[in-house]
Amino acid sequence: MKRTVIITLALLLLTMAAHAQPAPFELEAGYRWLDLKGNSDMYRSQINERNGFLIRNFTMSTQTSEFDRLRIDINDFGVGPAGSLRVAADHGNLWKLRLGYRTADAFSALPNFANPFIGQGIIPGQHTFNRTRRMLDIDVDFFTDKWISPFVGYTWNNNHGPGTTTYDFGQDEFRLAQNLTERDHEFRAGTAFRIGAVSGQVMQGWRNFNSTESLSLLTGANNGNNPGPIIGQPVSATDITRVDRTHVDTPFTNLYVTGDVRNRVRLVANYVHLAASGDGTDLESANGSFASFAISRFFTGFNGNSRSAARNDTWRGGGRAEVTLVPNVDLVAGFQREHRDLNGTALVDSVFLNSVLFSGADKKDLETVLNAKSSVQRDTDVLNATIAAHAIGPFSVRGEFRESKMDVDVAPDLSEIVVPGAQGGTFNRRIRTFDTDANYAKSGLLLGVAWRRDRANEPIFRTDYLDRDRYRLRAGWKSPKDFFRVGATAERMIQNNDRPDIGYDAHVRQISGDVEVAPLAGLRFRASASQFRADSDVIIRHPENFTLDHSINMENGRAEEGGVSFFRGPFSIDGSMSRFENRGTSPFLITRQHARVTYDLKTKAGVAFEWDRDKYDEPNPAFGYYDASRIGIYLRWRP
Amino acid sequence: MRFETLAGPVLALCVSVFPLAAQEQTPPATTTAPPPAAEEAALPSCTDCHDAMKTFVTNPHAIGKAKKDAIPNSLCETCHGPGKEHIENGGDKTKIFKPVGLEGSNKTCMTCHNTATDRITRRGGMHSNSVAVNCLTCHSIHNGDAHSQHLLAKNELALCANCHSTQVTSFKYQPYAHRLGRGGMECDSCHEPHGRPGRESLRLTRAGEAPCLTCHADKRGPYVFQHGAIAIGECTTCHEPHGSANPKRLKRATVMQVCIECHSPIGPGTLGSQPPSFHDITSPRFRNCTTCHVAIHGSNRDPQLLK
Repeated sequence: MKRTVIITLALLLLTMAAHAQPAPFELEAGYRWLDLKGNSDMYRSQINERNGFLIRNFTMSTQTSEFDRLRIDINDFGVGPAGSLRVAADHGNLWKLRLGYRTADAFSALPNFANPFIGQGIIPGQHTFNRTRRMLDIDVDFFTDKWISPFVGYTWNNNHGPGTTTYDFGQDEFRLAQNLTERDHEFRAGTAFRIGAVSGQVMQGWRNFNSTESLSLLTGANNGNNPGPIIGQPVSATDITRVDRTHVDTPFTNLYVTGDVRNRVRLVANYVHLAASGDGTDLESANGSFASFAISRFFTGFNGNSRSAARNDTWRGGGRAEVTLVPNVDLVAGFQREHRDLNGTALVDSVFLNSVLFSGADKKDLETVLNAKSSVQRDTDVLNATIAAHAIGPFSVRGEFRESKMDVDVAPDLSEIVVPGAQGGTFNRRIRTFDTDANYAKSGLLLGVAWRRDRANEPIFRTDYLDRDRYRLRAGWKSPKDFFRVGATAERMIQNNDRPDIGYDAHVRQISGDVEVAPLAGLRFRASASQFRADSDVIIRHPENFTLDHSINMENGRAEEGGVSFFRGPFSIDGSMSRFENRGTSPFLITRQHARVTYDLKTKAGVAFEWDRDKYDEPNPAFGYYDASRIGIYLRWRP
Repeated sequence: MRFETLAGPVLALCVSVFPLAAQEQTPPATTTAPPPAAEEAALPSCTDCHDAMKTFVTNPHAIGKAKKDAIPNSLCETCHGPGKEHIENGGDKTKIFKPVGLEGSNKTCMTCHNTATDRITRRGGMHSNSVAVNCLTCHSIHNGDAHSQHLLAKNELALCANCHSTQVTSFKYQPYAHRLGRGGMECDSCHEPHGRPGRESLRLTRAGEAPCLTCHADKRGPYVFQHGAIAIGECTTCHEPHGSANPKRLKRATVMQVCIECHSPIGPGTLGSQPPSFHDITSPRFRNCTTCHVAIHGSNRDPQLLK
């Protein structure tokens, strides 16, 4: 990557020097240094900005004889952790092209996640990864003089990288090294059309997903997580290897049609259908000393393979009518139905080598075959009607009624493995929603109030609400010429399920406000503060002794931020400080400082200096503490 | 070959070729701008006074209608109405239409952009064209943010924060959050700002799935052994998409809490089985359910989601 960025910069410099003429672009590129104290894994899991070259910004927008518009935007391309490139090219009435490329590094090595040894101070947890996702999107629209505008598109999504995971096997958990490669291709083609007052779009797509996951026992993980013997027999592994492959094909169709009737009525119909069919294979082998309660035996080797096929057939269709009752007052009513049909079959063949009964007798190889079928059907109907008055003087008001019905049919086969937990049956849930908001806007003042009320008849999951109310208040004022702006938002959401065996109760309260003042041209101060409280409580049952208990989760966060920006002539500065403290179930304190200074040495060239500091504290500093400063120096070029 | 390897040379090529092309004096290959009437040709150009508007040539609204250093007055008049009187009165501001607020967007933007799709509506949406929120609340046609593709008045996070400050707080301050503004991810990566309220404001995949699956392709399945939370619920059953105080953007502080709150079937009629009694959730071994149930989103191999 460094080499690529250096080459890019060198080419740009050479090109510009060679032409020595104005070019319509802005480039800001340079190097970022990282000074990190504390837990680097935690820092990388949360922020992950590293040392290296970076094209901080690049923007080119021009018109040429080939393009009516060509625009290229680049942000944070280089060392990452996330960057993007966008290209938009238009050729008048013939075609337009949109290209987007995104890259994102995903790193996770958290102290307290999948870590049974956190109490002994061993970090990080046993599930880690260091992966990169790259996504490319290309869409080209062709314009014709006819009633259709065809288009084609392609999306590529690649996720790969190493990691570590665990495998529950032989009555122990073993750490495995993991290597994952996932590639997703999507081709699509279709056309937009307009025939008089009827317009719409139809698209056919084909998606192809391939995943390969290779796993092997980590060095030093032979004894597993649990040192004790199982029924007197030590459990250990000399090797474990697995290779999982998954392939999914998904053709899909997406269309909508709209029709206008005398500019007063608009009808919209839509339909989308996807039929995903997946095939999977899994090959596995293990050697060591293991136990299995499922077959009530010890064994020293294992060979397993599985073949699976799964299908997701989903369609959604519906329509709505939009009617302008009087100018600025509209009625919108619609109906949507979604049907999802999930089916799966798996043939899992497991051979336990040299197995013996727990008593030590009957040595033999034992084979088990699981031939499973699964199915889940879900139907959802949504009926809604909205009336919106967009301008009654300075007021706008909207009210909506919505009824959503979900019917779920989970059909277990004889092996009762559908939806893990050996459950089947039919579940129904109906939610009736009344949602309204009103706003007042005049002379820069904006006042808003919103209320949403949901009432459900039954839960499907235990954390589904039966009653939910959400309130939101907003107020803001912006002075003429934008020299002063103040805003505040308050939200409250209450949801609960009073059923005696569930007792679910959750509150979220959030309030935030911000103010901006620009006393002089080029000078702007800003400050914000917010408070967040969330509490939830639901009755649970301890598996180990069947006693009832409460699962309580709390968050109590408070954030403050202040900043200033100033520019005058060739100089600009933008700085901010913030602090966020959460005193809930997972307490932490984050403080951040940011400064960016730019100075134009000439009209066409300048420098930018960036400094960011993030400090993260948890009550136990050995686990989560870090203090990360980044300094970036970038050259700015605007020929 | 990695895409970035190509990106550098391609970028350099673009920069080297197109400036040259831009300076060619050959007449434009195509133009859709109407030929100026004799009367208009006799008038000064709008850009004679509005010098800053010369950059409008790269504005999306000028595509096919303007060429370098030649922005026809008719292009400006598309939104501002006839400008002859304004010009003849020495630039009298009262003689030209300036689109402002709801009336401005109705008379200008909605003339062309009053479109509707399955997700977009201008009549009943959260951001429908109202006195509170209209096109010109978020879009600045002449002076948009330099890095915005959609002529937004400010960068997207700051813009949405004007009203949705509580959501933006989650993104900015929670330790585990999607980092907006990085890697091309913005509010509108998942939300359709011109869409209908609630769930229908989500920007679905082209196959009609939840927006999360646009990037997280591996979570689409289908799986033989579906986790009910996904097959019947949705990603937000367990995750906070904006930002969370908990690792993996989970809704609860510990993984065990996320799981056990559903997997406690004390009464009938809910999905979620009781774990076997050897799951001693007071022990660290069993407080991290996903240490064993690694395939928590779904599995093709194991009904207990162990692999």
